[in-house]
Amino acid sequence: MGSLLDFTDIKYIKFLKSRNKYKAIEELAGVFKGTDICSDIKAFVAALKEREEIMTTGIGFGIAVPHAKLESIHKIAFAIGISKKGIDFNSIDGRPVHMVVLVAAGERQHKDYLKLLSKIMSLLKNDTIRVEMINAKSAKEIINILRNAK
Amino acid sequence: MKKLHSLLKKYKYHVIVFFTARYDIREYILQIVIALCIGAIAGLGAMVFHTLIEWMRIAINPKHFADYLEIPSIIIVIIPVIGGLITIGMTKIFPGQAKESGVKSIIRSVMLQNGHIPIVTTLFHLVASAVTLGTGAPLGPEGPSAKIGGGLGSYISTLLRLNSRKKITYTVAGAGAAISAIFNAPIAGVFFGIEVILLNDLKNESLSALVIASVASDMISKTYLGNNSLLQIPVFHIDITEFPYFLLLAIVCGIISLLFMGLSHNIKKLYKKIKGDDVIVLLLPVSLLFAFVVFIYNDLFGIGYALINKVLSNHFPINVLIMLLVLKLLFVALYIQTGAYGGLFAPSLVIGVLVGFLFASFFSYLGVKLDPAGYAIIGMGGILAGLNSIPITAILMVFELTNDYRIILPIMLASVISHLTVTFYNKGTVYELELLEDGLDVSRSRINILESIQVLSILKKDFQTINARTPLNQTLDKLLDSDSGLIVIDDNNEYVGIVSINEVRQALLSSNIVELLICQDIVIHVESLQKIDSAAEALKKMDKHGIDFLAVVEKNKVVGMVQHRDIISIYNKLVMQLEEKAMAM
Repeated sequence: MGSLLDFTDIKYIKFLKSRNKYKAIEELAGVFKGTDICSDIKAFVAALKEREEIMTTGIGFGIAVPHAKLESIHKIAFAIGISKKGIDFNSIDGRPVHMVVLVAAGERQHKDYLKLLSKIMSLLKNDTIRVEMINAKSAKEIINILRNAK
Repeated sequence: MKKLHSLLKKYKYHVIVFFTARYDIREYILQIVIALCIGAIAGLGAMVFHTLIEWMRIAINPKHFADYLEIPSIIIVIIPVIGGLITIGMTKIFPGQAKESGVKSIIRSVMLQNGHIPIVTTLFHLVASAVTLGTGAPLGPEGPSAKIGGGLGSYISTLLRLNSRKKITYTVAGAGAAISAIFNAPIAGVFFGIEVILLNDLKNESLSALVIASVASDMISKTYLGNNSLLQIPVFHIDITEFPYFLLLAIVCGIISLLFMGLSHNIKKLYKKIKGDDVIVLLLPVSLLFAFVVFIYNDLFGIGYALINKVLSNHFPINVLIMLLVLKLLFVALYIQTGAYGGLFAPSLVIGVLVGFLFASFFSYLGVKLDPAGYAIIGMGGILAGLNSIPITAILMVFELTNDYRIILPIMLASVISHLTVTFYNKGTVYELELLEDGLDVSRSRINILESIQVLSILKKDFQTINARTPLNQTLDKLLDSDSGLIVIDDNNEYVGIVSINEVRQALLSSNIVELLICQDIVIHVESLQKIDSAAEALKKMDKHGIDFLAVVEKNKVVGMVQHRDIISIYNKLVMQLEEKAMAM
């Protein structure tokens, strides 16, 4: 598996307006509309919401990682959403979420999916990088952080 | 006593030679004796079956019954319905025996189970078929007869503790013998064994036993039924100059056979859509519908020999003949696809006689004088061969039923051309295609072993399930304790997918994601198997997803699992068995 930048793009980074977690998921998933990543955004959002209902992906430290594997996803990818005001994600530490990393994978990309999730989690566990990303002013800045991250 | 003593003295040398003779001579004589006994017993079995059907047919024929009881005949429409209810009940009580029906089940047992047919299965089919046919179902007695004869052959072989090779021989001999007895046609019985059960394997050692058993059973049948043919053939006139019409009728027979197969196939699809695997319950509405039709067209009641005789004696106007043909085609297909117990030979003869008669009547109407009775007989051969892929048996059966040499050439033409038309269109014989549908490919010289193994036979019931909501750390703990993986179910205990150790290696190695994921996130949404699926199908699915086990599901609930290593193990065992069998032959 290559660098994290191979799985995202400046187009997939968005500053979120929604403060409700489901609306935020819907807003962020919208970045894949019209791309070759996903051919059925509606189904993707439904799968993300369904997963969220089983157990929150708000893992604390102001981060949430909603994820889903779906037949209509043709390329494994992730999107980043930044919320300055914070989203109530029902996180395990009860704190609002400022960064949502949304991971999309195809039904058969099981191994790559787990590897990507592992790589994202390892990056976000780095306090400095996490804070830099949350405080970033632009999508370009986030891309640079990802580029410099090892 | 003195005479016996002198005889013994005179033939002392011969007696000594017999008892000290090489083993194979004694074995040869023993084979003849056993074949004679099996032929006689299969013949008796067929006669018991015949008597049961005849007794029921006469006792409860709608017309006779109504007259006898002095009740309105409309009430009698319940007879086929009662027959249907009993058949459904028997099928539900004995599902294992019920599914081993028809001629193809004999082929399967000869090919895959060394000719073994349990006696309970034989008895089940004797009773169930007698009820089905005796209460008027428009099917034939040959499939069940062959099952009864083959089953008796198999049972006697088991009692005599004969080896698997001999058991196959006598199962085939018993099946052919029963056909010989039920149709009073010994040569046709032999060729039924060759063409249908042995799938045209003329080198098979069962041949001599088949001939002997068929002759013995026919003697029993002739003693019981007399020398009379089932059919009353009127005087008819056909001429060899009518050759083009024979040819045309042969093609028409092939086309009608194909139309029937198409109709039957569509009804099967419709039944599956309505009732899934429980199509036998549809026998009830079919019986009810048939009962009302029989009330108007009483001649459709039962096997149909009486109808054949009436057609041959020019009993019906053309419009009735057309109606009878359409209804016969429809109801045979409707009945056979519910899984009702009966065969297609006798219905083929009825359809054939109607087709042939209508064919000649049509040309006579156009001004070409053809004898309908003669063409009706030719039609029997054409449809019998086309619908059942038995050209030689059809020629011999119609010849033995009519006992008229003049008919042999046109019947040969009709049978072969009709059979070729069907085989050309279907790319295989009827039995090859039916067995292929069941996962047994006999079209090539070897059997595809994996297709012949049912998932049911390798099903493991000690499997571990896990709820999709389970956190990943608990899932991984359970996974490490499992044999090869876990089957994931939802809150309603319905199948979701599987979790395999190979697929979650990453999750096992990385502690980063443990807190983020739950079991559902690592599920592989792979299609499950059904008990009736083949091992080939299971392997195909495992290969597609790169996994080594699959769940077996019934009505969305998990009933077991199948593992890759069990398939390989049973495959190796069967290959060894087949090799041993081949070496013994």
